[in-house]
Amino acid sequence: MPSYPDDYELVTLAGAFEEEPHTLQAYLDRGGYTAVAKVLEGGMARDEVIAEVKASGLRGRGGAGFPTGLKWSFMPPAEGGQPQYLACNADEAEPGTFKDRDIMRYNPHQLVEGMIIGGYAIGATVGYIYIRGEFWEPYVRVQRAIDEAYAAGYLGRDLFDSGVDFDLHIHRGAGAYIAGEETAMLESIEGKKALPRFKPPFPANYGIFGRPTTVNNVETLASVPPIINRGGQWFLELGTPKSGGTKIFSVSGHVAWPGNYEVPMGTPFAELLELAGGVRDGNRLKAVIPGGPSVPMVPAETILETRLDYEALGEAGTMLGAGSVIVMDETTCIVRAVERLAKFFFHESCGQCTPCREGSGWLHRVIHRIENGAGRLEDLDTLLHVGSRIEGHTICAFGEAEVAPVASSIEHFREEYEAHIHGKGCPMAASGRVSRRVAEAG
Amino acid sequence: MELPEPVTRRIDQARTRYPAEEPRAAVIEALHAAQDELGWLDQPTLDAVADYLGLEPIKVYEAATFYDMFNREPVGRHHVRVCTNISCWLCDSDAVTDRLRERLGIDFGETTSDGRFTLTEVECLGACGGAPVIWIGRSYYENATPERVEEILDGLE
Amino acid sequence: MAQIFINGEAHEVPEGQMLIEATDALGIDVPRFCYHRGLSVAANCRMCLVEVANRKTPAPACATPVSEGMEVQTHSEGALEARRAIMEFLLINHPLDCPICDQGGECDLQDFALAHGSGHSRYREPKRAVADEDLGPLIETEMTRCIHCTRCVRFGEEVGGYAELGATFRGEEMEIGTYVGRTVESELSGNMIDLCPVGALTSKPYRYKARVWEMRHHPTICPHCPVGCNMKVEEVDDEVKRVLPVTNDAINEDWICDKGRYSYEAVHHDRVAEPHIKVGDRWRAVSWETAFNAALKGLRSVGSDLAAAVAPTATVEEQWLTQHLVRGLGATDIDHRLGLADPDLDAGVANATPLLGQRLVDLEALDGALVIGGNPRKDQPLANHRLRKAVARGARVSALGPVRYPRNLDHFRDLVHGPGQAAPAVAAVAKAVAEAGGAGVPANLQGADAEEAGLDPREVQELADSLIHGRQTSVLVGTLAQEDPQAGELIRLAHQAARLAGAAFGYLAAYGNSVGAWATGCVPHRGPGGDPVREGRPAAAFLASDPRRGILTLGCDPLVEAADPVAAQAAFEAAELHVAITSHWSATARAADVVLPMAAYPENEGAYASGEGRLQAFGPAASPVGEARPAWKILRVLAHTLGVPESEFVEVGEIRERAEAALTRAGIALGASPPEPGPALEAEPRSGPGLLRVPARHIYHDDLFVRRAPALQEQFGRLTATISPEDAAERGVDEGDAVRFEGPGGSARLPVHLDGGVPPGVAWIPAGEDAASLGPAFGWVRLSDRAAGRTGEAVTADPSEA
Ligand SMILES: Cc1cc2nc3c(=O)[nH]c(=O)nc-3n(C[C@H](O)[C@H](O)[C@H](O)COP(=O)(O)O)c2cc1C
Ligand code: SF4
Ligand code: FES
Repeated sequence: MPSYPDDYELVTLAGAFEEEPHTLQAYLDRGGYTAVAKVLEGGMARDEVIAEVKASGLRGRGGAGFPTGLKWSFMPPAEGGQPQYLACNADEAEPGTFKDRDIMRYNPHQLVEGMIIGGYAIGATVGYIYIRGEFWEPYVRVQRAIDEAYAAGYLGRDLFDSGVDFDLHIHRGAGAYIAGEETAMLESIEGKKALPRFKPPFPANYGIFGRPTTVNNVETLASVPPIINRGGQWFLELGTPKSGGTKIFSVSGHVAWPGNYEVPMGTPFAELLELAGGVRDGNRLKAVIPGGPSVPMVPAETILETRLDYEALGEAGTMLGAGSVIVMDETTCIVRAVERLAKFFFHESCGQCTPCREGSGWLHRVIHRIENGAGRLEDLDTLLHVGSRIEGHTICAFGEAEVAPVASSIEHFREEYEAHIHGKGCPMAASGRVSRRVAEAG
Repeated sequence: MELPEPVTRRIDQARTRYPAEEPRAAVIEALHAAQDELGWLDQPTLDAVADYLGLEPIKVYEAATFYDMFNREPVGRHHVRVCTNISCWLCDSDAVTDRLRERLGIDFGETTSDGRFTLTEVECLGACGGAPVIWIGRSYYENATPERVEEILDGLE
Repeated sequence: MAQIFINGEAHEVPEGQMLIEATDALGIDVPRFCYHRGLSVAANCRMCLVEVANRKTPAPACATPVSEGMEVQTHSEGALEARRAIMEFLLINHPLDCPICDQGGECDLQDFALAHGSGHSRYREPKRAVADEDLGPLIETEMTRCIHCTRCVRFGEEVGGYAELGATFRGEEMEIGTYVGRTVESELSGNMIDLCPVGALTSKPYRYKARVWEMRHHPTICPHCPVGCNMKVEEVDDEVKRVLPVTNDAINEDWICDKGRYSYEAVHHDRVAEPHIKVGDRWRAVSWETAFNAALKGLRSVGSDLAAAVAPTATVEEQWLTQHLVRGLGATDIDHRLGLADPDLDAGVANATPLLGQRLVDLEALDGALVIGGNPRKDQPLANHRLRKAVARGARVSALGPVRYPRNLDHFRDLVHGPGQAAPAVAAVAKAVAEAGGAGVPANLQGADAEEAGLDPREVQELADSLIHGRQTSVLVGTLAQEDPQAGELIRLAHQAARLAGAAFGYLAAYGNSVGAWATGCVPHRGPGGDPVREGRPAAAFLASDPRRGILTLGCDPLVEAADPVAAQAAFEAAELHVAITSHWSATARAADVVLPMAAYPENEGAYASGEGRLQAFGPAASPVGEARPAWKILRVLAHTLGVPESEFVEVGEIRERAEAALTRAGIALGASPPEPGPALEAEPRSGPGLLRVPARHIYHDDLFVRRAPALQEQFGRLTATISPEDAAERGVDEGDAVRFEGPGGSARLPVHLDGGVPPGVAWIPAGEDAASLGPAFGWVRLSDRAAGRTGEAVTADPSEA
């Protein structure tokens, strides 16, 4: 079991270790809905809320890390009864990411409260939570929380007699990774295919149904009530000066105790690994993808020296992403791992941009060939070339994402590709599947 | 064809979440509702959904074919979907899928001849802390192993 | 305006424009597949990537708004490299079948491959295969060639107004199509072929007929409706191969409708290739001389006891010359309004020249409009497109008519009046407008009552408000209303409503050159330009109860197109002489004594006057088939030989001068308003047993030429009888049943279509060959007892009983 040092603060996963932490009562017992009361009853102006969030250093937890307060400030003032929207991104489909699921399962009211505050701050009177269709339990819990909040008067008309209205609905997805891209999500909420929109116009000007909209991740929004209650400064100081607060890292793969770990920004990777029980079976660490497959993988030596925050990971040649730490030990065939990811991106490309639609299949087919012993040395150049022509040439960041594992693995593990090519097959698959062999030996 | 009442009820409910002039926004929920009731989405069902929402049918076809959760072919009573993406694979989803194939005698994308099981490979289910993950109906079965596969399947009628 | 720098040169361009609009305007070449100026921006092909200073990644010119000081490189190495990459991606899954592809020679992909392709591809993996779909008789598909630019999909939704094609599935599996193999039904569908930058969508009738580089182009004007689309006819060795739009922003922009695009096929079908005379019961092909002699002899013998029916799709020259001939012979009966059912229109309204009353582009700027008794979508597809653009901008466009047409624009109010209640319904609208205007209700409207006309008074009020409160609004009278048995009253009331609302008044006519026909004097009561003439009788009379000894028909087919084809038949039978000048065999031609073959429009020269008042001239694209001659030459010989003064014309231009002068005198000018209608005469309400027939037109049955175009007829040309689900249920009739209908003139077997837009008591049966035997277009019909499998079925549609 993970054991947190005593002074670690759980911000968004607060309550996760309680019995029945998701009920309204449990949330109230944890001090729930006092932040929204402070805002609405206490008469905090919208600007003050935004200022507090800016001060907290909170950056988007959905992957891009955009400063939340700044994003909120882009919303135009609400005009003449026309709706504006706050959309919560609970699509959580980046492989290796499973943090929002736990927030929704264990702390749904904090998300609801965060959305009410966020909605007020940006002038939105309607919120949608876009929950991936596969998530049933989280959906039920969040719906229950919404129902409870309506019943208790936290949602609906004239909240806290402040004249502020806020309605909150769930919009379920139906299985498409790309729907997590914020503009694709807007399309999906409109009932269309989740095709990312070209920007500009940005959602703050042209969002759901063409109305101003802000999109935030679950963890981002769930961070808001404590920030309001305890101050932006408090949150900032939990982390580093440029990466405020705590962050949930979803640790998966070859660790003893996979799971979600909410730790302060700037925590050394080594410490997180230790919390997760270290590499399983005492194996040696080989590589880590620290933010989900959309970010470059890094070899063990690099990541073991790195702290987990936006800047440090950037310097290490990768990104924090959604904080999805995928750990691969020495038994992992990197080519096979990348082949699986290439297949994922190929399967998930929405298909509108030429480079992504055609390139994602190309990348996958070449890597598949290499893994299966039909590779040629020039394939590696082709992969890098194709990748460089996808990156930066597409509507959305999926283009960069699909290239990240390919390019980074060739950069750091070229010799493994070459071994596949020269040996006409996977050197690690000689006696059956790698992971299982190790698992059974362990 | 007419949509069954539980479906139209859910669609009506969904409609209330969006502005009245945006019926299309309810398409995904409508397809969920129809599939929950009918198992899969044949063309008459899709046309009925389009008709009910007052949309051109192609708009419904587009949604029904874009999102993976919508079955455009009949599926077995139990739709067994197993994640093979990176975290699950690292935790040996191969062993799990092998056992599923063996036990059910079908490959991915197939349905057992008795119509009980359909086996589908899926992408990351967002529960990688419990990898490998199997998803049947509305439930996730986490930390799957070949042995658990047997238990899980035994527990389904 | 913003100053931007393109390839180092400074340019002033409108702020907010997309970069590609700026480069297009400046003539700087930026390649593209998905961008099209008439469609929304998708930015998916990525072919238009350019380099913009201070941006890390190349920017799509189609989706990058210009901004002050922006520095752009369209042909830098970086931009070219980006495009090469796109080409490589596009080609990996594209078949290399250019030699057999109809797009060859006009394929953007092929062109850019030469310009931007890298020559060799690294791609060694298997290519994707895509199944083809049958989209019907007009569009051929070869979907492996598709590059997923989604132009066709966007066109359907944005211009066609109804999404039929879509992009189903995802990623590399994305497929363009209907998903279910439906026929694409949009009347604008052929434009998708032009839009498709590759050979995925091509013209089915044109398939393998020619290679683009061997064809010669001839600009022309579409004869079919008053929009007057600019087009070009393409021909090889004098054989017409296809027709394409020619861009004209003031008229058709980049589009034409399928009727204009595909009707050319009629050039090769059912043509009268030689002059013919009837000897006894048999036709004999004869020389021109023999035929002329027969015609001249007959015409001399009937003298002034002659009537002439002129096609509203004839040129102004042909129209002017026909009336010149007829009146020169002392005859008075001439008309082009074969379908007009109100015998009193001329006595009342007097001048109903169907001008639009504004420019086409003005329609786009309307913020309110009411279309009475018309279906612009099918009658004037590209005027309708302007209305759709207005609606997209927020305009409130309403419709009022006997049926609710399948729509492709969102009507503000779409009102259906009771059977036969067109005029009272318009009176109710006019009254509501007067009431809302507050200046008091004119005496003639006092008795109007929305409910009695079968309308919801609240909706009428809302509609009236929308006309009054718009800045720029219009009341437009459609073809069905113009041909209504109570057309005079209806037009008068519509005009009154427009006046009261401060709206523009105009007509949305259906036939190509009706304006020209009015202005050149092809009406019985007005000479060219409105010159006084000895008044004659309208087609409704001379093609029915009161025939002349001789009939001359020019380019038309009254046995199908007349207000009562069965009565017209009797008129033809009674006549001693019938000279038909026609390009095609038809019932009318077969009923003639002398048939003189005339050139069809692609072989002809002349001019048409459009609804907005534009006279547009065109020349021949091919020689007439066989012995056919341009009608103006035929008419010239007849007039000259018969001694009609001033008939020695050598060139068509000399006739045009006269026609043009007539048009000017008649006040035909761009954007001109139609004349004010005179007071209407009291009209008889219609009644009869069974369902009241509404003959709202079928786009592919309008004129003889289009009725001879095989592809248009193949799937879209079937005439159906549309009735209400209620009437169908009562009679035990189902969708698609072939049912025998009985009308006052006889019976016809027609497939039935059920549509809630048709009110009970009404049968919507367009005029056309299959329905001609029923008799009056605005008559009643009964589902025959036998067909309905019952006996004694009869419903009264007498409005007084409704
Ligand atoms: C391909 C792609 C997939 C994404 N998936 C998710 C997702 O599942 N959940 C999420 O919160 N953000 C996702 N994002 C990021 C969103 O676009 C967006 O930046 C985020 O939701 C904004 O919220 P934040 O500012 O609170 O992080 C994805 C982005 C891309 C390009
Ligand atoms: S980059 Fe890929 S996923 Fe993103 S919009 Fe383009 S095709 Fe779709
Ligand atoms: S033309 Fe700009 S992306 Fe296609």
